[in-house]
Amino acid sequence: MKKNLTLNRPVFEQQAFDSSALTVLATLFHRFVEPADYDLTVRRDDRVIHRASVRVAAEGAPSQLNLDLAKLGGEPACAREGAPVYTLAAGGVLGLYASAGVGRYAVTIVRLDQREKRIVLDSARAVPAGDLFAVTLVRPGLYQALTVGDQGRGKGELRVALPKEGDKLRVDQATLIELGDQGLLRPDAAKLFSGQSVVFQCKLPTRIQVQLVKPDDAITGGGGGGGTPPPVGPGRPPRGEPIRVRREVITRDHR
Amino acid sequence: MAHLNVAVSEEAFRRSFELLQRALVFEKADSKDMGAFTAGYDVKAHLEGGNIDFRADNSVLIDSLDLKWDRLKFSLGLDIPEICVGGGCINMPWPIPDICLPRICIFTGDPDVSIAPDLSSVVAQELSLAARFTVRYYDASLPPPSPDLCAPLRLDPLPDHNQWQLYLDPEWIDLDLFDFPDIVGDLIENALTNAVKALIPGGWVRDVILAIIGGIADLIRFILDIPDKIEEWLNDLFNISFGLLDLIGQLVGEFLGRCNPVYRLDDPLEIMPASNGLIPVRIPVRNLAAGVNDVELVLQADVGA
Repeated sequence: MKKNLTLNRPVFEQQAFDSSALTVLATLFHRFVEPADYDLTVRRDDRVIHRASVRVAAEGAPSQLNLDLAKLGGEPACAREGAPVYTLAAGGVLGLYASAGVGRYAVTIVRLDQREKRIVLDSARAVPAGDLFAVTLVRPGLYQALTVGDQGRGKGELRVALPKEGDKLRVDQATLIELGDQGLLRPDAAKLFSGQSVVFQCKLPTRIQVQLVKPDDAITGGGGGGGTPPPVGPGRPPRGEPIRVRREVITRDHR
Repeated sequence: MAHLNVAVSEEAFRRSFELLQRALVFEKADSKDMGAFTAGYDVKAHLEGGNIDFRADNSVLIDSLDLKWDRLKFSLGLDIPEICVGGGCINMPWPIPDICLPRICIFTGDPDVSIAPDLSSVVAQELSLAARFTVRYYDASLPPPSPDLCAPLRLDPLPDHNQWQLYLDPEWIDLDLFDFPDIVGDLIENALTNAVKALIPGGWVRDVILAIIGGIADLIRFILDIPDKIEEWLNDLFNISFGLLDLIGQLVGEFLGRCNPVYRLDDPLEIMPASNGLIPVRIPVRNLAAGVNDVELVLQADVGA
């Protein structure tokens, strides 16, 4: 039976990433340090598409929750009644990402339990200190990472390649880059394979951009990898010998 | 001593047997869901050739019958597993918990591919059987069998009069195993590879996807859970999983041994036709027996009340 099948094109077309406008292949991780109630607002192209509450408890809740922004929307934008409540442990992380589509998302998180409204995350401005921004790079080539913060700018280089034939490709291996004082990247260069991710850890509020500057047209050809083949199963009849199908002889006499 | 003796030579018997042999057709289609893939067949076969040997132990050996495949379509559908980028977890220094990245999948929905090559031209098998003659008496006054298992196999309708029927009842049937040549493995692998490639756009996108899945050949073997040679896996499928050999053996046994007699003798037997206003002359036949020596088939019976 044929199934409906669509190629997730943005995975291959997205070649520029900006923490202020989350797209496919980009993830923002916000860390909730203190137990409290928070208000989460998600915007797509400047239109509010989702509101929710985040309840951060001292214990007894998961330490990570990933929210797919591409699956949100549909409910009334300003509705608070009936809005979902996400629960996280103190110190836990909320991951915000888009699995498909061409939308550009921004997220605001406000702490509710104090006298003054305190914005703990406004992704359109910056990734706050203690938060992380990850990008998954698919197109082979040379990328430039730029950071813009109050204390300075930084620059880094990311080289993405296909593995050589015979090398095993693990897309689930990520590289961590720390953004330190004055926006400097440590390390300021990294090599990774297509489909792997880079995670930027912010020590200070920073806006992060990653852009493909030189695609690699000399593709080294994929393939190879894979594990050892499974062993031959038991019970296979010897080749070349006929098998005998025995029949019970039954006489049916109509007389 | 019997009143009636009839001898049939091997050659004469061969001609009678060939009439049955030509009418014996095996046709079946089925498919099985194996989880990550579905496998099926649509087959049609007939028998040709063969050597007949009457043996001194009252049995008949028929060997080297060629099982000719008019159609041997093998259908295979693969569920391609999710192909995704990203994912994995990154160790963070305390007190930050380890962070797991989301996976982004390349296809929205699980892709699948299917092929259905006809392998009839690359498979050859032989069938042999040993049988004894069995005599049965058909009583037309009795109700027909219910359920009538021979209905799909019977060549002639049930008679409307009593009849002695001589069946060739196989005691054993030998059938060669399916043994697909190497070329079949290549054929299937190429067909699947082309089907998978058709899902994937060309250029660097294809290179990336092929790098992630580790090559289409490895992906196919992973999904099918097979060692190196696809043709060996196919042999096991046809010989064991599909149970085709059992089905063919069962068909041949039922066709010859239960459903289609090789010879019939009416009871009463008409020895003179009606003529000049006189009714036909018929004699009752009793105690029909059949035996074989290494030269001929001998039928003996008593006549009269």
